[in-house]
Amino acid sequence: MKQELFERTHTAEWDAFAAMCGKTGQGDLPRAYRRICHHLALARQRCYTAGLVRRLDNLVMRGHQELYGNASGLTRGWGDFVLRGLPRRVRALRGPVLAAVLLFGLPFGALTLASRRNTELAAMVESPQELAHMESMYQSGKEKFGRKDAADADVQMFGFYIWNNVRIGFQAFAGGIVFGLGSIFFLFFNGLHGGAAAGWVTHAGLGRNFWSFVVTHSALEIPSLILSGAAGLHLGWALLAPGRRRRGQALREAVKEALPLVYGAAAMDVGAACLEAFWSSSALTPQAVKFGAGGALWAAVLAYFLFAGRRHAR
Amino acid sequence: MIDTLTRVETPEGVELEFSPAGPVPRALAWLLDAVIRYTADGILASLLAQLGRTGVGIVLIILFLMEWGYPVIFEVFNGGQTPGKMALGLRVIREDGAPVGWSRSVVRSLLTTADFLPFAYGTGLTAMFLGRRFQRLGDLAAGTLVVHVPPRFQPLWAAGGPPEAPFPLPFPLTQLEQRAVMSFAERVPLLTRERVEELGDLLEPLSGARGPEGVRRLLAIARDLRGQA
Amino acid sequence: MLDKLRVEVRLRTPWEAADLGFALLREHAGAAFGVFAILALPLALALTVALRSTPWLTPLILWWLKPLLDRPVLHVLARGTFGDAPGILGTLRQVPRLYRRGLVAQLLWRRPSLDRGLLLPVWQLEEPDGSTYRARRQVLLRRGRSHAQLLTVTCFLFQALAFPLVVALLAYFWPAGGTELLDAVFGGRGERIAWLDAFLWFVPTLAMVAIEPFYVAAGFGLYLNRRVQLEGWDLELAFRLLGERARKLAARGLGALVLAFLLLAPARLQGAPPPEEPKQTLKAPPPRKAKAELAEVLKAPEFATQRDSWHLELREPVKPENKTSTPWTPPRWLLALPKVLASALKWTIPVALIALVAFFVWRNRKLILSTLGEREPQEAPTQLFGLDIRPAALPRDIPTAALALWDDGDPRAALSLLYRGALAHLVHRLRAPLGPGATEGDCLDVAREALTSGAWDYFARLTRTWLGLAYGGRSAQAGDRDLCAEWGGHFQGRGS
Repeated sequence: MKQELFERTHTAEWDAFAAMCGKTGQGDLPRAYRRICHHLALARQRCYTAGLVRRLDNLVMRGHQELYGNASGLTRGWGDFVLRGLPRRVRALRGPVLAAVLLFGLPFGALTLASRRNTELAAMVESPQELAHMESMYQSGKEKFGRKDAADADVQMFGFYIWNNVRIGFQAFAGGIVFGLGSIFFLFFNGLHGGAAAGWVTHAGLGRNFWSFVVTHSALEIPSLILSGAAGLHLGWALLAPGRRRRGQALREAVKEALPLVYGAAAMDVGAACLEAFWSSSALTPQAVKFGAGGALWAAVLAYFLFAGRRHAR
Repeated sequence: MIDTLTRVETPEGVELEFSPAGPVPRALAWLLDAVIRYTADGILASLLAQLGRTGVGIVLIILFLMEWGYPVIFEVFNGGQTPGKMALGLRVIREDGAPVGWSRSVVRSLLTTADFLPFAYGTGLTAMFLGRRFQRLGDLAAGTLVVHVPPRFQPLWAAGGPPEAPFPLPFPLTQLEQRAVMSFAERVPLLTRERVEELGDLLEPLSGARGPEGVRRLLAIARDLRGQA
Repeated sequence: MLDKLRVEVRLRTPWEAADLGFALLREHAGAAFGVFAILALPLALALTVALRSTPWLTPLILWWLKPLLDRPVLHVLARGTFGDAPGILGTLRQVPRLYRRGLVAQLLWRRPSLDRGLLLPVWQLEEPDGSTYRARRQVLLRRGRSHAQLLTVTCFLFQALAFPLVVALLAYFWPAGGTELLDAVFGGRGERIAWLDAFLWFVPTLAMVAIEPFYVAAGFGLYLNRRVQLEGWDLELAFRLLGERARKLAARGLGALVLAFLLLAPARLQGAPPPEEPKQTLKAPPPRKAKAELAEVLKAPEFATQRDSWHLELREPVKPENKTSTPWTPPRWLLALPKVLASALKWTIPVALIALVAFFVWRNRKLILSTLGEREPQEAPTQLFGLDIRPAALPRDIPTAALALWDDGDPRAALSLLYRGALAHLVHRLRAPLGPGATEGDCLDVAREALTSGAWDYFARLTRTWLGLAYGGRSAQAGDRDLCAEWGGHFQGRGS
C-alpha cells in the first residue's frame, strides 16, 4: 500500500486515538492501542518515511504510557501489604535484618553497659559539650523530660523528628548501594552514639528519666532504623555477591525485594515521631504508665514481625 | 556504529526507540528544579517563621516533603516530568518504556543521596558515563531511564507545488532506498539549493539528469513512491 | 569520506547531539583523556612550581590556556568519527601541527566566547579565513546556539564548583573541626599546611582534566549535528549506495545499457565533471558556496527568525502610598495565633494518625477477619486485557478446538484460544493472584510461581508467539501448530 493511501485511511483513527489518550475511561483504549501498534509495525516493515514512523512511534508511546500507567498503585493492596506483605518480607530477608540488629545492637549494648562505669568511653564518642547538653536535657522539667508550656515546642520537635529521623532512615538505605558500607556506617554509629548517651546519662543518675523517655517511642524508632539499614545491606550484598545474575540485574531485584522495608520503616518513623514529640517528654503521664505502654508496644511490634501473615504463607 | 538510541520491546511485540539523555540537559533540569524548590522553601519558611516554634515545626515537615517528594510527585502525576525536566524536554520512563510508578520513582529519589557522593553528583556522573544508557545509580537500581521527549511530529512534506508528471523508475527500489528518496523530499526545505543539487547529482544514474532537472525528477519519484501521484 | 563514518548520522535535537558527543568520547576515552592529562598535568606542575608564592594563580592561568589542551582532544574525536582514531602517542606526535593556525585568536579574543564549544571544530578543522569565518559562524549558530552556550555554562559551573565543594567536604570530615581547616587554607591565623595547600590548589586542575574532554566532545556533537542538518549527510550516504547500485544495474543487460546510454548521454555531452569528493570531509564548503549557502539558508522558512519576548507589566500603575511612620501593631488574635495553632496541631496530628489507623482497620476488616479466621475467596477477574477468560466462554476441549481453528486457516484465533485457556487455568484453577489490571508481563511473572517449570516454559513460549502474532505483525510458523497439541500436557480445560 502506498504511504499516502495508508495515511489517508488511518489518519482519523490516529487522531481519535490521540484524543483518547488525553482522557481516561474513554472508548476501548487497549483495542485502539493494539491497532496502532500494528500500524507502526506495518509502517516500519514497509519503510514509510521517517516522519510518519515517528508520528506513529509517538502515538504508541503515549498509548503505552496511558495503558500501563497506574498512578494509584500505592494505595491498591496496602491492607494486604501491611497485614502480610511487610512482615513476610522482613522474615524473608532475615539475613540482612539480623546483621542490622547486630550492627546496631552490639555497639549500643556494649557502650551502654561499659560507660556506666567507665565514662571515658562515652567521652571518646561524644564531645564534652554534647555530653553536658545531653545531661541537661534529661533533667526533670527540661527539654526531654517534661518540658513546660509545651504545645509549640512539641510541634517543632515533631517537624524536626520527621525531617531528621526519616531522612536518616533513607540515607541508611541509600548508603547500602556503596557495597553496604553506608548502611553499616549509619547502623554502627547510631548504635555507638545511642549507647554512649544512654550510658552517660545513666551514670549521671538520670536513668529513669532517660529510659522513660526512650521506651515510649523506641519500639517504632529502632526497628525502623534497623529495617532501613537491612534494606541497604541487602542491596550491598547483591552487588558484592550477585551469584549467577549480572550485577545490574541482581541490584534491581534486590531493590525490589528491599523496598517494602523502606516503606515500612518510613511509616514507623512517622509514628515514632508522633509519640516522641507529643508524649515521650510529657511529665503528666506517670513513668510507670510509660514503661508499661512502651513495653506493650515493643511486644506488639516484635510479634507483628515474627508472626503476622504466617498462616497464608504459600 | 556509535549511536545514542536504545530499543525496547513492548509486550505487544512492537519495538520502541528511546534516546537516553546525557548529563548536560539533566544537570540543567536539576538546576531549574533546585531553583524552584528552594524558592518555594524560602517563601514558605519566611511566611511560617512568623508563627514561632510551631512554624519551625511545620517548615521542617515541608522541607522534608519537598526534599524527597518533589521529584516523586511530579514524576508519578506528570508523566515522568518535573518542571525542570519539562523545560529541557526530558522524561523518566521505566526501562521497558512504561511510565515510572511510585516505587521506582521513590527509589530514584532515595538514591539521589548516593549519586551525590562524594560531591557534585560525582558518582552519578561517573555511572552515567560508564553505562551505555546514561543511567545514574538511582536509575540502575530502579530500572528507569531518563529520555529525550521526541520532538513533535511536523509534516515537512512540501504540500503545495504544481503536480509533476510521474517519472518512471528504471528499476524497483528496496524499501530503504525508497525511504531515502522520500526523506530527501521531506528535507528539501532544510537544505541549501546547491546542496540539494549536489545530492541530486549523486542519483544521476537513477534520474538520468543533473542539476535542477535531476532534483525535479527525484521529487516526482518521491511523490510517486509516497502515493501522491 | 562519509562512508567511513563511524557514527550513526540522523537528524537529532541539539541535546541528543551533545549526547552523541559523549558516546563518541566513551568510545575513545583512553586516548582523549590520556592526551589531555599528559599535556595538562606537567603544565600544571610547572606552573605550580613557578608560581609558588601565588598558588591561586595556577588554576586561573591553566583555565585560560584550555584551548591549547582542547585541540588534541578534538583531533582524537574528529578522527574517531571516521574510524581512525589515533592513540595517545599518535596524537602527541601531531601536536605541533595541531597548533599551526588560529591558536592566537583562540587564546585571545575568541577565548571568552560562550559559543566556544560549538565553534572549536570550525577553528581547528575548517581553518577558514576572516570573511568566510564570519559567514560560516553565522550559519552554524543560527540554530542550537543557546544549547552551545548552556553547555559552556554547565561545564564551567561543574569546574568552578569543584574547589569550594572539595573544601567543604574536607572541612566536614576534618578531625580538628571545619573552621580549623578553613583557617589553615584561607585565614592568616591558623598554621598553613603545605601539602594541603598544594592539594587544594590542584583540585581545579583535576576537575578540568575530568570535565574538559566532555565539553569538547559535546561541542563536537553539536557541530556534527549542524553539519548533518545543513548538508544532509545521512541522505548523501544513502544516495551514494543507491547511485552505485543503479550504475551497476545499468551496466548489465542490453535494455539497461540503452537506457543508461540515453540517461547518461546528456550529462556526458555537457562535459560535466564527476562530482568531486572533498579531500577531508570536515573541511568547510568553499567560500563561494558558503556565501551562497548563507543567502539560501536565510531564505528557508525554517530559519525565519522568531523571537519570543515577554515582560511583566503592572495592570495599573502603582500609586505612591502615603506611608505613615506609625509602626503597625498586630491585633491580639494574631499574636495568639501561633499558640492556638500549636495546641491545635498538637492534638490534630496524633488524632489524625489514629484516625488513619482506624480507617485502615475498617477498610481492611475483611482481610483482618480472614487473617484471624477463615480465608475468603478472592474475586477472580472475568477478563484480562480485553480477552474473555470466563471458563463458560471457552470450549470444553480447548486443544482440539484450537487445532480445528488452525487447520481452518485461522492461526490467530487458535492461539488466542490457547492463550485464553491458559489464563483461565491460571486464574480459576490455580487461583493465581491476577487483578483485572494485570498485563501480559504480570501474567508471566505470576505464572512463574504458580506453574511447574515445564509448564511455565510452554506458557512463556505461548505468550511470545501470541503477542508476536497478534500485535507484532509476525506471521504464524508451521512449528507453532505444536502449541495446540502440547497444551493439554500442561493445562486443564473446563471439562477434564
